[in-house]
Amino acid sequence: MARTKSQVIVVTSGKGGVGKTTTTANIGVGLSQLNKRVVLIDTDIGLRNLDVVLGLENRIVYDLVDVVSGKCKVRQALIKDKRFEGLYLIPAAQTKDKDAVSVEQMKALCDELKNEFDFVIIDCPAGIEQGFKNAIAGADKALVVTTPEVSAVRDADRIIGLLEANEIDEHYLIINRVRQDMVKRGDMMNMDDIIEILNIDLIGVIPDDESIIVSTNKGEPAVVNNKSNAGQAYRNITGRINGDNIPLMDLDSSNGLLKKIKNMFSKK
Amino acid sequence: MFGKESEIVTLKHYKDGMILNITKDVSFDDLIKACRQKFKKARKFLAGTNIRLGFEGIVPSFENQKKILDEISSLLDTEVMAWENHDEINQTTEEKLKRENELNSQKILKSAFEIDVDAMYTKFYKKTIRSGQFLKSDGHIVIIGDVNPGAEVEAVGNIFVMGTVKGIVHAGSRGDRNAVIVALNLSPTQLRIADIITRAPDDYQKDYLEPEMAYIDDGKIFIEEFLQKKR
Repeated sequence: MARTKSQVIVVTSGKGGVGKTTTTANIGVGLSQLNKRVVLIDTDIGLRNLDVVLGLENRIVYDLVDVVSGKCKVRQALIKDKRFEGLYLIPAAQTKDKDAVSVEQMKALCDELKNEFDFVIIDCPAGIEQGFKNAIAGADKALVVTTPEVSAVRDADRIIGLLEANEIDEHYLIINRVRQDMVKRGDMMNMDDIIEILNIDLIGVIPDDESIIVSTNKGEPAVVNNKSNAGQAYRNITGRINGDNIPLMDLDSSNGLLKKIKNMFSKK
Repeated sequence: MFGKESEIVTLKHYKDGMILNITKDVSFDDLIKACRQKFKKARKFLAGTNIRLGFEGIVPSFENQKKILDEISSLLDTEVMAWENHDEINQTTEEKLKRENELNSQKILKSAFEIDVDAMYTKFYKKTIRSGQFLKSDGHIVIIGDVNPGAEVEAVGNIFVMGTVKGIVHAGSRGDRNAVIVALNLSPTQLRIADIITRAPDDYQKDYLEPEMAYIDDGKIFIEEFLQKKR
């Protein structure tokens, strides 16, 4: 097969509300922009969101539970995103039980999808119960999302331990919603502190950005918005996942009009 | 009709699917080009629906059939399935077919319940149905409240909502195409009646608030003002 390098990547965090779904959507769209064939799987059964964030809610006929239970073929459940060539979604079931999917079924599904896609990206539910076990079942790699808060970092640490126990040793850290001004004042955890505690490779830092909220509500991922800082950060992360060598973004330079003007002059 | 020589393929619409009639023996490349042109015109009507397609005339090999199905599938951004045993249905006239279908759907319903659809029992629900909740009935459903986005309501008979519908509603879930959906404000994520599914067009903003009714006519779902204005 041509797609020998297919990857299954799970996006996980432990804690809720740190940006797993937003990250999944943006990375998925970002990779499709790099001409990759990408399928996103929402495993948050009963609390599905990925379809809403992508603006595909009204196209759902079949869902993940229908696929694994054999009620429909995988092809029937794949929702094609018209705006982004090569991007597909398998939505979670909203009205069914979390235990409707088993670890074995997820593994089989991931293996099947690997034949057709370059990237299989799995949006993991919060928590460490059955939903989490299902989400990581077929994964080769993990992206651990955290925010610069003690509680989120604590949960991320727990998750990394569980990933290692499940033999997913290739995992990368995404630090989300960083506010550089607060870090400078010493009011927010420093990136270095977080990396020191978690001791895993950093793949990206995403600044706190209002445009994320706007784009999430509109169903248009920020990664395609050239004016958004967070969008740029996601573009960098997708590039790194794709194997490109991209340096970390300097969060300072993009803050404030005054700084921008200063930069304009200093470039001369 | 006008002696057009360029017509390599013609398309016939049936209630259960479509038949592609290939009238000329041309190369596969030309054939697929002709198919693409044919379906491009019909794109607006067909996008988002599931299609069954059968072949007639100079029928291509099984492999080429599959290629054509895939091509149309990606062109229309929808699921296109092979319609394998269309021949039998094809022999009857369309009118006959229509009648037969209607009879069949009623037969299924009758045999399932042995009762009159209109006399089926009704489930009353006096709360708003929220995301993740699933309300199902073997008869009709009346909801005094809203159906929120992410919620699903499914009834074998009709659905009547004294409130706003934003989730998914499915009336006639066992195939009754006479089922209707009525709501004070009908803005669903998806509307399903019997085996037919529709959704609002992308970027559609509803700018009025009126009771509406959804029903099937000629195999399509229509939505129309429920209270006829009396002048």
